[in-house]
Amino acid sequence: MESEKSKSKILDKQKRFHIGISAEYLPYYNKIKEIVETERKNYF
Amino acid sequence: MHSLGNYGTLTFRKQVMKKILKIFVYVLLGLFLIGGILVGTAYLRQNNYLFFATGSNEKAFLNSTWLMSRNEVARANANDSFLNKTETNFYRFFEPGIVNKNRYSSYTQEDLSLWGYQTKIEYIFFDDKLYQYRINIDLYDRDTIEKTILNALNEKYGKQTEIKDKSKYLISEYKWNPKNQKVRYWISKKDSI
Repeated sequence: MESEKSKSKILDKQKRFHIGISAEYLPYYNKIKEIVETERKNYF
Repeated sequence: MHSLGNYGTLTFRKQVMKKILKIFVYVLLGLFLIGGILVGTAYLRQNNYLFFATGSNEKAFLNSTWLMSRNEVARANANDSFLNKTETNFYRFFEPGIVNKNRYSSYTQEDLSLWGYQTKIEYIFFDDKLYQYRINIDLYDRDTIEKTILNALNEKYGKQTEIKDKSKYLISEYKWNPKNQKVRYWISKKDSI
């Protein structure tokens, strides 16, 4: 079990590239931005 | 006459007792009903069922839709299995704004394979509503997978736009702007991140 784990760790290290895909939901993303901005204004 | 009077009083008492018992049973049933409604509502609220579901009609990733709660995403994409809570730094995107960072939460799903590769999906929530997801794939080589993924994204979201002023750590970066969404794809060398 332990050796399998270390094997998979070694294999993971050999993976040289990373692909990332991200998606954001803009109506709510903009609302969060607004919330953050309002809280900042209220704070100071 | 006297015994008849006693009989009448006894019957009257029996009737009163019956009425009291009836009222008691009704009150008990009412309490059970109210208790049942309260427990049922708490269960629905806790698990985001029925009118406590927050998901919209707009598709996000796999079977999930935007604004779904963590429970709904787990039911939709992970067959009810637990999604692992992870630390997130996404509140930093809005600096120098101020917000209680506990309003953000991030959960990962690692039991998925996309395009034949082991994939880690991160779901990011604000106030327990899904607003972003990230797909992470680690590779040995840049073989045909890049083309396959770009073809799939182009088919879904239309023609890609290359981001020219990308970070120096990225090999390439593309974006799409479908309705109400911002989609990004990037590839980097692992040791450069």
